[in-house]
Amino acid sequence: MDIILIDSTLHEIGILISDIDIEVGESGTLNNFQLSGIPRGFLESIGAAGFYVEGTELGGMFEFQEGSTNSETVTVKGWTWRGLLTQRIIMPPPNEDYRIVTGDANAILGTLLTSVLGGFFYVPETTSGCSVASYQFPLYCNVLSGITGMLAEHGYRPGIHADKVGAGEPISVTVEAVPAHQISGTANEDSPYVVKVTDNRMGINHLVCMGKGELRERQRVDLFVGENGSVSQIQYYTGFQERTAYYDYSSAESAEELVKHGTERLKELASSQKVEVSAGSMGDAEVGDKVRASIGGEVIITPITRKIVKISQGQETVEYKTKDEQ
Amino acid sequence: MSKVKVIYTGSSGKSYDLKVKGRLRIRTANFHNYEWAMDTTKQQYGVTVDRFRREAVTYSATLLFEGSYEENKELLESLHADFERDIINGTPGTLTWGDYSIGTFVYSSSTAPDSVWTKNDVKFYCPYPFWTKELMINIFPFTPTIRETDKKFPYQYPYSYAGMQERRVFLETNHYAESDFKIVAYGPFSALNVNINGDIKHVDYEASAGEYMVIDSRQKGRLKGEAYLVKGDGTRVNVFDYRAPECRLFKKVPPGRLTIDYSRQHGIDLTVFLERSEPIWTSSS
Repeated sequence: MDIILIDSTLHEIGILISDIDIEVGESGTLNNFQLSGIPRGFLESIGAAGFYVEGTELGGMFEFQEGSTNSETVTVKGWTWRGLLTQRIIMPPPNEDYRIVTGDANAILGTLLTSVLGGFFYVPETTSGCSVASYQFPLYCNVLSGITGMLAEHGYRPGIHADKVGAGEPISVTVEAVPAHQISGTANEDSPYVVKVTDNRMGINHLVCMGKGELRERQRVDLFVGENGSVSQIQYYTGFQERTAYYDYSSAESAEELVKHGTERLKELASSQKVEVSAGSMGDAEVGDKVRASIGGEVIITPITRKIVKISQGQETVEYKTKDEQ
Repeated sequence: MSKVKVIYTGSSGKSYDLKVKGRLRIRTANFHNYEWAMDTTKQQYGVTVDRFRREAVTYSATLLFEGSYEENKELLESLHADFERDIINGTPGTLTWGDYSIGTFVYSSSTAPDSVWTKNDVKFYCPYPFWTKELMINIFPFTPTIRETDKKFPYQYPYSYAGMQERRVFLETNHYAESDFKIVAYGPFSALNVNINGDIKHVDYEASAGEYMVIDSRQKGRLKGEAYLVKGDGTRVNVFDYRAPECRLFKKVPPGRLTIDYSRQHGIDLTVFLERSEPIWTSSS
């Protein structure tokens, strides 16, 4: 993996040798990078303003630097290309309540991204095969969150990659709709992935939530975990399988608020199945792809929500986080 | 060890032959001594090896200045001045054994003068722990005779005019590992396009007569390799941005026999840097 330095006009300068830590993921993750141990003034001396890894979404511009007077090196940080998509909000059109889109996903992305960062991103004009019908973006969501949600509904994900277009040409950062792939939990010579599955059945499935009031007058809601992990006020597990806990939320302003916070708490306490994935430098699965693993005959398919790439002393590692695992 | 040359060259450029009988000789040294380090993961039975790596290496040696201290004072002080110059400037000197060289700092020295000889124990610290041999080939351009019939080709013929000359050049490295390389291509040419065992080094940048382009895969400070054009007035232009898309300009050349193929419309020098953990034992060593 070559870390190719670029200048402020996106022209290549050379290949940097450095430790690096890059995290890309869904909207809630960091989506930034960190280069450490860079000699003070080195990047400036060669006009480096950012970096990219050819054909991947790993890259970004240097926008943060920290160092100290007793160190000859600095740490450089910045948003990844994906992270830049979190820096823009999807607004409803004038005189409308929501942004609602219809058409081929690439055409929608093209329209959305035209105004983002001065048209920094390139969206292919070719059709993606993902047809969107009247998709309503959540109010004031950021672009990454919005397009990820829209594409996920159709089994697609944002494909983000930076490429060299031609000799002497600036690099181009592409965003397009691509089908989400599924990687298997079976490790073999052809698969660089190691999938670790955790099946935790020691969780709580009945939460007694107590709100405002005193003693028997106190507001009470019983929340239960259902068969598929959903939370409702209908009991599913009984007898030996019922595991109960108490939740004190005396400052709840209403029953709805008590249910809302109680649900969040119960999800934290409930039984869970977790899938962790790691890979060597060969790992090329992307955020939005899915991991398939089986636990005791039960198949779990869960999307990759974060990808963490590191180079430390020349050793490359890739780690993935899946939904519900942070 | 008697015939192999052993030379220390300071970063100043001054060289010292360490095998001059009656003057300065290297008496003992442990240059053929290396050890790899391992990153491992524990298993029930033993470990699995994640990777091998090398630490910097230190060699101990004893130098003998033959004759009295007074007779050798000038040579010894000059040598030690070069040792210290390397350290103070942070620029390594070079230790050469036969055809192989390694960058080094002499960071420890202990001198014992005597009436017959002066014994000097030194330690060579080598940050990059590999000995390198440079294997170079000069490839000259064709000087074809153009016949009238040749001019009828509507496009450039891939194997010289009328196929009379073999365009490819072969270089046997007799080595077991991928190697760094340096290409010096002499203008004029409109673009550099050199194929080494199927791996194309393509830079779409013109070099005029009197200019030359350098593609050097070796690490330069924090950069992996360099690609630049040297103009007639000596100024350098970074041409890395003019590489063809997906062209891995600094990818090392493979081991074994190299096949070098390009237009042969201009000359190139190709140097391959063969690295080993120890200098090769030659028959004369």
